[in-house]
Amino acid sequence: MQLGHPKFAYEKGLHQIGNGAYAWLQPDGGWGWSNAGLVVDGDQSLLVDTLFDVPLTLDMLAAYKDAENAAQTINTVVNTHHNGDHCNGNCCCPDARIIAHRATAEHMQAEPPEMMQSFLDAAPDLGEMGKYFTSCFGPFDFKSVTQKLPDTLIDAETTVKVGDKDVHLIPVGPAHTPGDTLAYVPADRTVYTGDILFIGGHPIIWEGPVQNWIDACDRIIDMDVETIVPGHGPITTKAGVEEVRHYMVTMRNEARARYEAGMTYKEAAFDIALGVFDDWGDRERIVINCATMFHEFGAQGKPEIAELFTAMADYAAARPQKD
Amino acid sequence: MTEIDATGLTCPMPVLRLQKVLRDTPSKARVTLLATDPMAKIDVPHFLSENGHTLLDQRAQDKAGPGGLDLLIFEVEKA
Ligand SMILES: [Zn+2]
Repeated sequence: MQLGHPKFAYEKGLHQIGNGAYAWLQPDGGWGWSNAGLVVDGDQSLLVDTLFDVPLTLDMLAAYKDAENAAQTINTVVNTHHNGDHCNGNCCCPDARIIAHRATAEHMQAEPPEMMQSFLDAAPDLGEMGKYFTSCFGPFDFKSVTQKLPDTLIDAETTVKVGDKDVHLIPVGPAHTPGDTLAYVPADRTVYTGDILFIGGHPIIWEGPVQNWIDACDRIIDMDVETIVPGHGPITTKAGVEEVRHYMVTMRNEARARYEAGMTYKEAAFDIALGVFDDWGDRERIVINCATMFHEFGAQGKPEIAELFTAMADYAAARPQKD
Repeated sequence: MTEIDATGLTCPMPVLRLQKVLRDTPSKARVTLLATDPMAKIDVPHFLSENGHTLLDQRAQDKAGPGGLDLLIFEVEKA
């Protein structure tokens, strides 16, 4: 099923939405290959997210400056959540005020880029899991990053101005992460969703509960928008949001049946037939999703990160994705 | 200073042992964790960071662990 917006090709780089709104896309949208946005009005500019490392972010900023004078100096950065592929490049915007949900700022601090680098350094000793980890995160230059944390924290829905334009920041987490926040620009009939939407790839449910994610999808579906920029994958329409919602409802049902049947989260992940979602990328994320959902259903504790990546490496090896 | 010997144990056991000891440790007290499973290089820093504890130092001694495995030493300060 084609979930991309018919008006926009899924190609790397800058896409003009119109009226001073832009998206920056990084196909194929897999681990770390995130999207971001630019909103301008008058001489003011706001970024929705930066990228995983400094070289990627500088490329993006150069394209923004080419497109808009107002992007010569970025006034405001909004981070939709704390994962590094949405905030590591904050340090490329030295003059900007950085806005994020309080939980986003806290978790950013707990997962600094140095930690990713230390994991990559350890990866050669970690067998198949290390290879898998390196295949996901090896392409990025974490040594280039100096973490720049948010300086303006929000706890609830907040409106910020870009020139005369309103940007509504709408916290919807915890879902993908604790601080998930949508950036809705009514004047441009556009919403930047961060990782509440993965289009054409399996969403990662790091946090849950899944119901918050479903509610977030409903919130987007109720908006008066034409253009929806996901955290990963092509620009989409409400049909894409419906598919992500459908994924959440389906997988929660599938996972719950297996939890109640006494399976482990890993058994459940391998047992669930992905059906209509089988051709979405990064299928092994079903492992994390089952672990998180089992915890939500009442399972004791959450597996540690090495166990999750080991299980994902097993899944990816057992079920190689067709291109 | 408390020392936890988690050598020979596979992940997630080293983190679970550490978690248990930290529960009964006063704030700012230091704990040393010894491990041999290389996965601990990921689990231990991640667990500490997520829970606000400080990893003061992390080092490895070549083949110094039981069975000739590299010995991983984590120096931890409780939040
Ligand atoms: Zn992301």
